[in-house]
Amino acid sequence: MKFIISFLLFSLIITSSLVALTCSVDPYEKLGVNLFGFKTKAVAQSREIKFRMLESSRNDYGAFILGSSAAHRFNTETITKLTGLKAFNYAVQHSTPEDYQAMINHILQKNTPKLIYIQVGFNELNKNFQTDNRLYNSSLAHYLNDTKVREKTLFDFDYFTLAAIGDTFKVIWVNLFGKAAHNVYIKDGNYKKEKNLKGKVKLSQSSYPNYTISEERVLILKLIVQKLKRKDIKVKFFTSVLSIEHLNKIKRNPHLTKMHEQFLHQLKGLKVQFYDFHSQKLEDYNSTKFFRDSAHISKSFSDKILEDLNRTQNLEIGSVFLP
Amino acid sequence: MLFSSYIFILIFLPIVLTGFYSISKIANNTSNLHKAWLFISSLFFYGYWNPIYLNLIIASIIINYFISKPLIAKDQYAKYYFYLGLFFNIGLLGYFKYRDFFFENINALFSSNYSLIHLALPLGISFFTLQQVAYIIDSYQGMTKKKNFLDYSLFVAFFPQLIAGPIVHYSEVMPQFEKAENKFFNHKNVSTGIFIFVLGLSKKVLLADTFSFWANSGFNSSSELHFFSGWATSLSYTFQLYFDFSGYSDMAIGLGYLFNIKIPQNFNSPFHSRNVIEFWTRWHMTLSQFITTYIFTPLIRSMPKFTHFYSMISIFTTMLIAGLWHGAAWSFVIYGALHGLALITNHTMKKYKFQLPRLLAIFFTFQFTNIVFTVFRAEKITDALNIFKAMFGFTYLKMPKGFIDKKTLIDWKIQVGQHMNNDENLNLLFLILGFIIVYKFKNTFELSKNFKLNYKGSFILALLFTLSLFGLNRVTDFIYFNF
Repeated sequence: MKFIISFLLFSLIITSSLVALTCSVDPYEKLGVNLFGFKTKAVAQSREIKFRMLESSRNDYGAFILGSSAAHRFNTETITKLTGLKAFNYAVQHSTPEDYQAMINHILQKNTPKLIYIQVGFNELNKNFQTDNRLYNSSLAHYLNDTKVREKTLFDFDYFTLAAIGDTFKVIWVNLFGKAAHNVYIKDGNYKKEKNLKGKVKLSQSSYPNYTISEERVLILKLIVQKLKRKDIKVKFFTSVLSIEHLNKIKRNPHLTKMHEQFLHQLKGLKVQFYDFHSQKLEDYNSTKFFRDSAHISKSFSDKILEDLNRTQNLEIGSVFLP
Repeated sequence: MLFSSYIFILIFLPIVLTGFYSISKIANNTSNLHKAWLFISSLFFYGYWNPIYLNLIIASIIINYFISKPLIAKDQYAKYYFYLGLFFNIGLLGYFKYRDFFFENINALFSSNYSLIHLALPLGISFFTLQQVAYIIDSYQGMTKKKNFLDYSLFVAFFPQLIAGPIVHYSEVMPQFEKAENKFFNHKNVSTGIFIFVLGLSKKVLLADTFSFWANSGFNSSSELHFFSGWATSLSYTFQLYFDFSGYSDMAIGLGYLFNIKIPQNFNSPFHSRNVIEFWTRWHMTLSQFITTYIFTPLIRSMPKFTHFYSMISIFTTMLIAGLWHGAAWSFVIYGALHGLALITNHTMKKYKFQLPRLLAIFFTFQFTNIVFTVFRAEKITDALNIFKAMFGFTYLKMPKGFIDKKTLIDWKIQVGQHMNNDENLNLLFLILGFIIVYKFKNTFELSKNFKLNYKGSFILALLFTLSLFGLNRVTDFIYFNF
């Protein structure tokens, strides 16, 4: 009997110790606890950070750029130069249309901008590309229209997972022995300065498992368009820029090619200005001067894309579909 | 209900265990209450998934029970009841599992337009049907005795082995329920049960589900794989399948022990096999026993002569049927055929006394099973071919950073691509871990024989159990639930 009792007791002790450690480190900043005074947390909470940046800002932004980490490097000063509007970069990691819905609700609660750029990545309309849990853990979750998007289960507790334990130890390791990188985002949601890369553009995020178009997300985009039209806010959709190798990889797969056509078709169907940067012209830009990796463009290339986004003809890289 | 779920581990199992041992305390020794409790709990376990299919399993139990009665009583019409029993069970399986596959092929062959019904496969139908077919055959051959309905129902529906085996015979399990001492709490059995269950749970949650990420991602983009990712995909799936299914079997056996019931072993270090003949005595052992007893033996008896040639035909046919039992798709037929061919090769080698050195034999057997499992997993044959092309094409070779310098590779005329990324390094690490566990560690049964009931043992077990609990949020279904 001793064995069974000690097994149960040890299980209880180990479980509660791990939960206590995770909660006290609070890697996702869910509980607002920082018992050990760590300078940084393992998981970059771009949603929470940018939400707070915008909340605390006194600027009356006239333009916003929304998107995934692929839109991180769009410089707001370039937007201001091109449009005359003060801009905020609201791009967050691993975003999906659910994020844009919440962001737009958040933006509209604060002010009414004149222009919103929304970057949509190919994977974002994939039904099997899950909405990031960090959206639901961030303050942005309060701005979602549909609260039933995430089904809660009996034991749905984010800190009761192996990933949370892993991230807890990462936080401890980084703070005790590593370099804390807690200043990723600077003024107006812009991205920090980066060193130039050398060598070939690395392929990244280029597998699209079980790609199926998500009707639900297309609907969310349509609702966003309707909402912005009602408020007389100009919206421009554009595809995230991918390296030519990345694009060719999609095209080599017949299923993905079909899905890619549907993806573009859905975005054109929104009947607003839509810029497609999935272009063969990218062959001329296949270096680390323009790409950090195959799914993330450099700051200088972002400026070029912004220039295209403010044209309606003679685009350098992409093509535009006018409603 | 999944064994690896919070609802099963933290709610269902404690309630059923408490109920079982409480009943044993209050009821007398001859009472059947504890069996009734287990049967009702098993129906709840089954129905929790999809209550509609409860009707199916209950109907299957009732019909098989009443068909077996005249067989046991050696009724004058026993032969007809026997064929009725076979027809009913094979018909049931055929309707739910093979109907669409059959008409799909008819449509493709004759350009006909038979409609497909796309029925969801009732959970565990292949297993509980097989178990009942065995019972019908045993009854016809006079190897069973008269049973009451509750005993028979519990034999079919006992929840630890209901969904994905191990496939048990009536004579193996049911007499254990009758023993008076098995109705009471037995510290040794419960400890062994916890030990085996936790090891099975860890295999499933910590290993199989981790390998599943790489296997799924590789099979989903098979046309994009290169040398490393091709091998990583195929090996990840082999380890996923092994840890998933043997983990499930361990959990089932562990659960049996918790109720003082010993369920037969299903895996015995299959990757230690020196040939495919040995492999099938170590992999899914209860299925191997079933197909040997109920398919191979009758088949070879029906052959005109007992020669090597006819034995090989029987083996090949048996393996085709075994392949098809796994699922209604050509890839499963090919899986069975490849194993059939390998068995023929091994038997022929044996006949001519040709033997490979032990390590080489283990290596080739593992590689063979690994390749055949790739066919087994592939949704389309082209996916498997893409993976083989990547594995054996040596294109776009990747190595861990610092492993070998690029110049050497170029001298060897091997194309050099990008270095491996973090995910690939982690995949490699897990594959090495998989090999170490498979080849260096004892299997669950060997470990359970020698484990000591001390604090150190309970601490390690508690640690594995806790980590598995933390991993339950990402658990995928058991692979063999689909068969």
